[in-house]
Amino acid sequence: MNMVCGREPIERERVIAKYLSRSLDAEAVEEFEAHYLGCDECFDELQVSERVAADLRASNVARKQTNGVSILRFKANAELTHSARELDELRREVLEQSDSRVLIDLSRVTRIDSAGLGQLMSCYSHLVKNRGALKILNPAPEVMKLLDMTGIGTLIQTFHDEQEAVGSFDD
Amino acid sequence: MDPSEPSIGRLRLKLRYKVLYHVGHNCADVDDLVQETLVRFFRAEQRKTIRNAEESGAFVNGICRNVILEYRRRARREPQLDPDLPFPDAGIRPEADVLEMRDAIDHGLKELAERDRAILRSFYLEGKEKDEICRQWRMNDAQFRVVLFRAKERFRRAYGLGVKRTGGNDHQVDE
Repeated sequence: MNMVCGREPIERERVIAKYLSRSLDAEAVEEFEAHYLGCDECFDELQVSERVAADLRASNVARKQTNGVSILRFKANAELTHSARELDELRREVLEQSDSRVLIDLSRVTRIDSAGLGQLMSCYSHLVKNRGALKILNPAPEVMKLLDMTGIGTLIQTFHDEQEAVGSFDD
Repeated sequence: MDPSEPSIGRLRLKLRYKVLYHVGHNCADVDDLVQETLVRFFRAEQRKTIRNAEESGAFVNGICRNVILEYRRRARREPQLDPDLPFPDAGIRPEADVLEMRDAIDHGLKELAERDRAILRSFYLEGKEKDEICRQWRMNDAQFRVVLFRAKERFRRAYGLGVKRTGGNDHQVDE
């Protein structure tokens, strides 16, 4: 039985990816498990791939609540650009949640493009429609420059102090 | 099967992986199921009922499958007394594990370009086929291999996971 070993490495990786995402049928799962139980090399590849997938799955956005305000913060440097997963995460964290007062900490956002700016505007519109507000905390100078150039900076309030930003939601 | 300690430890690790995949990370009986599998396997070995040593992986897999099935049947007959006990999570790693993983990989995927991340997400999480991804990102097979195996090498290094290579260059990244 040699389901994956000795094949083109990408082919093996395809089986591993499907195993991890649980899209192999029961028979193929059995076959793959029977194989890796006897094959150290394939088991190691499986373990490494699982870690890659787990990292891809883990969210980079942290959420905390302070005085009824949801503060969203990026745990690692992030780009709000066309293909960035953070864009999706931001959408999930704002548009698919019931919170109406949201403060986004942009201090770890190193780059933003039209898709990122568009997402910020979608979040802003969504929250305003729901009688809430969106505010921004600590954008990097380059990001701030773009926010100003596009007029978003005048629409969405920006702060450099978290307490002040949270307090402003009650004004 | 090689009866040495490292070899048994390795088999235990693999069985644990399989059991977790099927019963979930919240199951408190994982180690018991692994132990039961090992006991049955070594008994069978002693009785010389494993005809072909090459196929011991398939044999131990069959034992493990039966142990898991018996456990499930038992669990159905004797439901958990405490209704607050968490239900098996179908093998998804708990958030704490994932966070611990993230901490351990400062040199892992964080270094990858967003484009590489998007490609890896399509492959590992969205179940897209290689050809579809290559078309979408206008890349050829070789470029796809580089993205995939470069990411894996970073993780291998970050975790100190290594495979004793047997001469082939199947896993090498042709950069």
